[in-house]
Amino acid sequence: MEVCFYATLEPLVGQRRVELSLPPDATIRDLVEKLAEGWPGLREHLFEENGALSRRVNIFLGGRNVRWLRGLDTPVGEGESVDIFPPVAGG
Amino acid sequence: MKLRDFGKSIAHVDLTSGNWQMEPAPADWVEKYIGARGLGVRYLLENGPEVDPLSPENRLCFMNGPLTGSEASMSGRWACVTKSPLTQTVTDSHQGGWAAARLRWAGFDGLVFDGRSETPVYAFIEDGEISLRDASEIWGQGIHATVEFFRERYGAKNLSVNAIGPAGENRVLYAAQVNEDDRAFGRGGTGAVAGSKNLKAIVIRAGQKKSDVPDSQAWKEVRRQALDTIRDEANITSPKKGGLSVYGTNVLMNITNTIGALGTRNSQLTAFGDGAETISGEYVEQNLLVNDPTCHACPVACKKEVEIKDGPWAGLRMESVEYEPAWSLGSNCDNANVASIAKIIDQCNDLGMDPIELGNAFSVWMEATEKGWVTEGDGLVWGDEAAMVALTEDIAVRAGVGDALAEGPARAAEKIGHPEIAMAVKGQAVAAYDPRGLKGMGLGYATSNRGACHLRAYVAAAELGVVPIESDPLAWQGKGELVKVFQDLHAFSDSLDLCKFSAFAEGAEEYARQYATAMGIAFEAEDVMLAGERIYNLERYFNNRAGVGRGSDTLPARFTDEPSTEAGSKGHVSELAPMLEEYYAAREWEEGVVPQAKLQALGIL
Repeated sequence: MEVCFYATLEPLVGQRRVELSLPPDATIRDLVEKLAEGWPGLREHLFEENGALSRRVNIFLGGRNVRWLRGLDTPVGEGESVDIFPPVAGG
Repeated sequence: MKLRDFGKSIAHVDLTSGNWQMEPAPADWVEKYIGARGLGVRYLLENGPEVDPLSPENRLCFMNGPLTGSEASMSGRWACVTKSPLTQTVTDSHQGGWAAARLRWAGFDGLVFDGRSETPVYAFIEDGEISLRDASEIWGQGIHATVEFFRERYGAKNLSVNAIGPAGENRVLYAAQVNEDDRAFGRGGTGAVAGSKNLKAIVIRAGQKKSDVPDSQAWKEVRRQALDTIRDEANITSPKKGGLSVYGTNVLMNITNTIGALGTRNSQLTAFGDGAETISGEYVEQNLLVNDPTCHACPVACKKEVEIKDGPWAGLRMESVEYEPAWSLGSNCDNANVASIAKIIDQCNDLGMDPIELGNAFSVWMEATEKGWVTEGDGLVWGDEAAMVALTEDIAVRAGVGDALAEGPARAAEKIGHPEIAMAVKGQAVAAYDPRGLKGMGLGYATSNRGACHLRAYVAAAELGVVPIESDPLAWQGKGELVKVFQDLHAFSDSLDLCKFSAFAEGAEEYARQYATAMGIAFEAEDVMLAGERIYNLERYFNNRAGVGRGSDTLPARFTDEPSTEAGSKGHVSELAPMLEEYYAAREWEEGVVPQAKLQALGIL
């Protein structure tokens, strides 16, 4: 599956898009753990100290923030698009 | 510069007679309405809400806030407040840069212009004095040439020039005023009001002055606390680390595209696909960025100076490709070329126009052309950059089709018999947040006191997870109270006048501490919210008396009836009716009208 990183997260990964393979019953938790393993600099942006999803990251599955789905327990499958942003606003 | 004397130095300038005098604002006005936006609206109310906006009877106020020009972070703001020719409501627009601070250092808290000069003039302000001087030789000139003219005449050091361009002179209904070449009073047509008064520019020369606060240690401490929150790496304002600081406002482009809240082709679609990337803040930062200029006392530096490297506009250096015009002139017009967007924004900075309204005028005309509603030869094709650039010039001088589009998208759509294709509320066009994908923003557009506006509420900060108050962007429940709270908080910060973006880090507590210490009064967070509510109700009272009342809080049917087309928000519409019901209950308003009892309870009457 394709995962895209934006804004200040993109330089931490070094590229906009990465390809990942996940097991069929994977969740967002599996995804972010795999990302943190691959790019250790991401860990502090992805997790709070207690292991919860960090307030400093917004993960979108098919354009929906997983906070409004099932958070880290949201199922994610092959072929779905994942976009990861730091908090962003302006106007 | 004694901060506690704020409000005592308001200059009243009669453009008809050419005379001016200093008159302190009534003490209870300063107490109730704080400064900048709130105080300006009070001066407008005093003048009468029924006036014709482009007549000499309209009033044009430039108001600093009590913290403007001080050492407080993000305090380089002032408000221009007048009755809008675009919306017939009260409007306030804010500028960054240095002009506001220099007005304070020159010895003024605000300027109230009445009447109309017989001939073009500019106001020269220095050392507590104002003189109206002949502007005939620069009438008709663009803003860049006007700024250069004054720099040659008075020297560039310590000089700010706030000017109108040809659009203001020709009363384009969304004409802007611009200082330092690129910091605009953008929305609501304040430039047209200045043009109707033959006021070409306000030229201020003043060196920096320090604030005089008796309890200087406490003042230092509250400023440090506020600055710490701005610098906190968890906040988007964090210098060189947060998204707003690194990429500017256009850091938003990819996220609204992702969630299906990026209006495309006049909001017929809700995302721009791969086109968003090439007009995004990330693209600009990686390919065009040459400098990060900033405003007075601001460590964030969200302005981004760019240089176009190739193509027909190669060599253009300008600031900034902000998110709102990148949308209005970009996806909204099916244009994925950031170079042409930069070119048109720079034209707007020079001709003196609001690029949000301009982009919406283009997209109305493009949809009308697509549907065959425009006379052959007068049309505008989606994404035709060269035609957009040429038409921008025509609009500023009201030539050909430009004359109709100079009236704004709402009137242009009305003129061709299809008002439904104008994405506007109360005559002013929406900004870059589709209400089907960010539902609170839709309620904010509908209930804004200056016509559709993203900044009055800016609940996107909650809906996008930037501030601790998180809110599902696709849920309508709870948006009534949320929008009210944000509107009230921003009414206060706009009256201090701190930059809107301070609210991405600071809140009512930080605002209260700084205001209380600067003014030497007791003032708590709850007082911030009460003052903000009072100011918001004052504006609504003005509008009600101006004839903008029951039933005026609406959204275009496209947002309420036509489902979103793209992932993230696909299938959603704006549930405006139940959101409005919640909102009016929270406000204690009757269908958009403030009852007498509410006005009395807030001390407005």
